[in-house]
Amino acid sequence: MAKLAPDASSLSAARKLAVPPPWSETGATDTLLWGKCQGSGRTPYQVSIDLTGPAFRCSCPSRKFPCKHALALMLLWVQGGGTIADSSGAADFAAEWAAQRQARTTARQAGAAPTKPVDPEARARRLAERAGLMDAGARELQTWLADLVRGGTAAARQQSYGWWDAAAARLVDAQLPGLAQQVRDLGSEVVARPDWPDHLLRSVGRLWAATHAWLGRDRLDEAELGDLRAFVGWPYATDEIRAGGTVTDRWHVLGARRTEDGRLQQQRTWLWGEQSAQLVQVLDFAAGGQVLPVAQVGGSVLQASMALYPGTRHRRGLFVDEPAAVGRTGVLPAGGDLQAALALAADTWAANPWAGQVPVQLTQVRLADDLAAVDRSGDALALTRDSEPWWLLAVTGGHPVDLFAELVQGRLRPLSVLVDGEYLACA
Amino acid sequence: MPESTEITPDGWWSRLRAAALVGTGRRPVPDITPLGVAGRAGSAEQRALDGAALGAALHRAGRLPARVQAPAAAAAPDRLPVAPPRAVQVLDLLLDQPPAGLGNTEALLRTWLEACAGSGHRVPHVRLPVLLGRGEHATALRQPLRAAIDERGRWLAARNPAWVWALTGGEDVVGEDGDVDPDAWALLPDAERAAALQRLRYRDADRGRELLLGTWATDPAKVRAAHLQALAIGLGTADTDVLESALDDRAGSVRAVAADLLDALPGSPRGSRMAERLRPLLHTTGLLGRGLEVALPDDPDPAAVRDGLGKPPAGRARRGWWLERIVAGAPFEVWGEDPGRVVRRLSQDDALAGLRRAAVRRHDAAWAEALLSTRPDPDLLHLLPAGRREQVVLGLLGATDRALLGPLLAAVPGPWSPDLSEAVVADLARRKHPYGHLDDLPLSRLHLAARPRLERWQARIPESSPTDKALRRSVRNLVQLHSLRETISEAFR
Repeated sequence: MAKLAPDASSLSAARKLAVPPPWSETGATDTLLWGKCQGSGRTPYQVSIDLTGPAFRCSCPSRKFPCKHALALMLLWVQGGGTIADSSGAADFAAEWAAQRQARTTARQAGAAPTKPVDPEARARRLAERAGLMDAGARELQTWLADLVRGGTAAARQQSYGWWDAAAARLVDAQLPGLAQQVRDLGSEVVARPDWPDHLLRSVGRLWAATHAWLGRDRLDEAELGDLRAFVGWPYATDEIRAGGTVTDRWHVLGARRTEDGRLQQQRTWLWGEQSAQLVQVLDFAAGGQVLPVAQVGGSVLQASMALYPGTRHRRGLFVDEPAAVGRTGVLPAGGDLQAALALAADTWAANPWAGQVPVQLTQVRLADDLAAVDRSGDALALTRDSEPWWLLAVTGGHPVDLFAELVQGRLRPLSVLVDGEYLACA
Repeated sequence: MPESTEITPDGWWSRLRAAALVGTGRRPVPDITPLGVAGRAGSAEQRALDGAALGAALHRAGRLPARVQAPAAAAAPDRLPVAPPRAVQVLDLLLDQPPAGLGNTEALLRTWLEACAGSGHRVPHVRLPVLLGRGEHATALRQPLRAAIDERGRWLAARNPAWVWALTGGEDVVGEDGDVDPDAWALLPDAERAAALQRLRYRDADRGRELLLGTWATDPAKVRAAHLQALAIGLGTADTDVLESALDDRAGSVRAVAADLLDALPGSPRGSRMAERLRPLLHTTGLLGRGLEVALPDDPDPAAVRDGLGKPPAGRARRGWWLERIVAGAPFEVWGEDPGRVVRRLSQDDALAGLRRAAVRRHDAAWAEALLSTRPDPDLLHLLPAGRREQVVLGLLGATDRALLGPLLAAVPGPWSPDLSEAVVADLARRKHPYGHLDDLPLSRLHLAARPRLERWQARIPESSPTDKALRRSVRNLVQLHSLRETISEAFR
């Protein structure tokens, strides 16, 4: 419940409201929850909650989402105690809203386009314009990189952050936001990292390779182009993806990670398809006051249909219907030791040079005192700086465990740990 | 410089990095063909960037793991079962979303940990880091944590220097090793000498006294006074001689300390002298000799002044002060009867004050209890055995000022019995509370049985003035606190 709240003050304000007195005309069905809350306004606020989403609607003027009234109604309902009666028919305002949502969802699923017919000519023109901008941006980046290398990496490091930021801004204008982010990150890493001469040169090399790949994209197949588009930051429209066919399978949730980058929150969930034998990542985003969808529980098995984005490894996926939890997995898919994991990563990069973090499954790995992961053969890899080593030590007690982790820049980021048959998501 | 024909990827990369550092305009880019790779022809910048791209790919894919020395030992298996699920739920609540308005969730955490350890359970592993982290600053949590973390927790704590307190038992203990070397002690700074003397008095009172005497002659007055005060620890008849001779000290501060400490030794020569001064002042009055009157003493002779009957503190009448001191120094036997009877018959404030002083100094529970009937005094209450204190406080509640209620209740160790708890709540409900605050009272000791009464009180508080609103909030927080404590204790059953 607490995960739904946008911040702690909303949650505490909601708790204050989660008592019978301000509420009237409350009720619940299997999928819908509604009520009217007397707030500071003249008329009570109408609150509706669609439990299948969850989705919230409230007539109060708050910009927070979900607002404290919606949270309070949820709290009240969860508490039980007869405040909210089950009923067969929903209140008018709630039913109306639910019907509208249903209509929108069905329209989305049926792939019904908005009423405007798509003009193929205009579409092609827009695409060509965009491609032109991106090509120009890529060429400009090549020039910028060549200038950088001519002047020397040491000189580049002396530049202010604004210099990097300006280059990033130009890339954003050229519809290459993924590359722009790389440049911005590089601007801060170059002053922070002690190994900056190597790091800067390598990153510059990778950007150089990306520009060439983009300009020579006609030689790439659809999957390779998919990887590249993810890297440079040209997303596919979700309609397009859904239309491209789905894979129905039992998906094992291996692990998830939430990150926050300024005002944008991202959640990445790794899933293993039993029959299709592929590892897939599902990405969720939330900007501003929005809330990320509740994370899938690690170790659960979901029956769902997934639409996959073009790509080689590891493909991004999208649930086309609501996944149903059908069980729990007691084991991680067979993993290996660190050498095998590194070899797997090398393989992945050979197929997809643009992959960032590579998911790996490790068996019987311990955490050593210097906070590195050690496998049975005595090989070790350091953990990423954002891992929580104390949590891992506490949970494993130094005993070997099976681990699901992301390999990123030569370090491991454990996401899930299997301890005594119990699947734990790393803190 | 001729190029070497043997070139390794590492060597090539170092050269490339160096060239890139100063700029390809200034240093040539190393050729890549010796590595067996066909590079593209092009400008120096293009070749450098191509090399960078290749180097990046090589570096990433060609990584090898490090090797590690002998593996560290894993944790021993735990001895205790993990806390029941409901208890873990409450712990999660306390750690992640502490109930607002209760201020000190630390007290609740402590309650939880004590209940956990007390019922023979351990904390879940996932919570060990955050609990040990809390114990770093909140020292009150340390003792209950030590028991509740079990083997896994101790193994974990051994790995983090910030958590070493979780391993040792007990706080800063007096040094276990043998004697204090007098010469070394004499050379310490003054503050440390006094502290060392105090610690030695705990262990070996006689050695402490000898140590004091060792440097007595040469110590300045302030130091002498501080050291003499240390004799209060482990005070006994063996210290009489030192104190008696200190009554002749040059410095007034030292003499005052000596006189004060001698109040606790009624068997001393000073005690006998005080008895001699007191006896003539006692008169029985009334028809049946029921009243007891104490006359005020005459001006003191030099011996009396030596014994402490000097200038009174500001605001006290001379003779009243002297009477108090005489009564404080004289043995209780002078009064002849049992404490209850004496106190009932006595009405003089100065004499009663003197008796209170004597009772506190001499740790006399019988006199303390008798004197408590005249005035609620937390110091006297501390002298009574813990079991008795509740009874006494029950009788005193009504007569105690609000300001004194806090210290008085603090003297009764928790948890309180249901009777006392209900009486306290009933008493509180009748009083006015400044600013509506109840923080000065140790109400976490209330028995869970008092909760219904608390709730009734809360319901009766009007919402009129800000003070009442604050009081309502205070009581509501109290009810919430107790409800949580109840949940915790039930969760561990």
